[in-house]
Amino acid sequence: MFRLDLQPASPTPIYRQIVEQITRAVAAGTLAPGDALPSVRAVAQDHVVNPMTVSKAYSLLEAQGVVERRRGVGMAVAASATGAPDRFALLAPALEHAAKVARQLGIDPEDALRAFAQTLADSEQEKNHE
Amino acid sequence: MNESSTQADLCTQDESAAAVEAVHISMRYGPVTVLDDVSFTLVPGSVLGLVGGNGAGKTTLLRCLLGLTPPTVGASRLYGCDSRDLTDPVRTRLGYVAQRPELYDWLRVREQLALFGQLYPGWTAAHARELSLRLDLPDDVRVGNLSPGERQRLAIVLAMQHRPDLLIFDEPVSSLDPVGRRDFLRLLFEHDTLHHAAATAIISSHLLDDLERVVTHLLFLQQGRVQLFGGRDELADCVREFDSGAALERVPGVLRSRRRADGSWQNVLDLRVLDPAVLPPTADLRALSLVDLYLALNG
Repeated sequence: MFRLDLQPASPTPIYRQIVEQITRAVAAGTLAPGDALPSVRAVAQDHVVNPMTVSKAYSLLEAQGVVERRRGVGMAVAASATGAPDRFALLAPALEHAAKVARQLGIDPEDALRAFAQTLADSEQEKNHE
Repeated sequence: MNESSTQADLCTQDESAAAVEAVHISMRYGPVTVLDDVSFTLVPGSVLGLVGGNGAGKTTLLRCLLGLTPPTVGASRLYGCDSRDLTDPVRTRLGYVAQRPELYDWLRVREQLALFGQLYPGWTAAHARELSLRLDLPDDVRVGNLSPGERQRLAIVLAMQHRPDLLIFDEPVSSLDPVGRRDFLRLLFEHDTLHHAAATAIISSHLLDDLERVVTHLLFLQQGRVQLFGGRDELADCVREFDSGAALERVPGVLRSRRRADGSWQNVLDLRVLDPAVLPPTADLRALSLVDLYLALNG
């Protein structure tokens, strides 16, 4: 059973928490294509957040193709949203972390890119050996 | 009479008018400046969180907007109508919870609600009763026998029972327990205005986690001045904390620069106005929660 966990004390705005949690639940398969999302009003009343915030999150998810509006049902996970909705978006946090570490270590961007290319090549080789 | 109804039409029929508009409001009591050049605009449907320390000028600002205290300089308009000269049609669109509400201790709750509510076209006893039930307010008790929390809930129902378009709340939940505060927020989300228009609200409160759940806009007031104003999500994207070894120059966009106990400097930056050249290219900029932002600006 999928349930949002919204934290108003977090630096991440509430609408983005909703977008991220639903995107991840779809990517992880916790939410399957066709599954209905709770209504805007239900989320607003259950989690005590402004319905406009929930609406905004749902509209963004709709624009990203993660969910679709269905007549009479409300919002549901899009049929096309099986598995990874946007692989690059899912990769981004890992890359952001690597960029931060590289910066803290004073490694310049070109060297960091070369190191990442080497890592990719190594992992490719490992796969071929298997 | 004719003249005032013409002006009323001008005020209420301008659907494009901002719900609230403050234009260079300053307020001085003798040598003391309570408000200093406050300007902002809210479109209908906005929920503004008004935050700032004690004595920042929040109550005075709300009273100026309502026309209860005329500002020394500047003006404000509600739905296009000057706050100092609000017409009856605009007045019926307002609901206000004062910090210390004036209540009639000798009346029963439902009698006080009816006495005030009956003056408004949108009021029904049934709706007033529903709001009382939802806030767990006994409506047959004498007002004088209510607890402080119940008095506050009565003030909230008084402000909302005629289904106004613009709600102005001055610390509406300071005496309420966490359940009462949740009930209040839920009531606000479901607030149905007489004209079924999107309700606009201004809420001054120190309960920042509660505000975070409801606001679309934030205004930080410090010593009577607007320290920071903007859409909630815009501020989440554009206001950052940045540590430096030395104080930052006070250029536009540096909201606060303060020395920590360990000697480092904590800076709060508004990236909407800051010249990026001020920052080192690898600056580590961190997002802030509302509580952390408040503490960084006021602490």
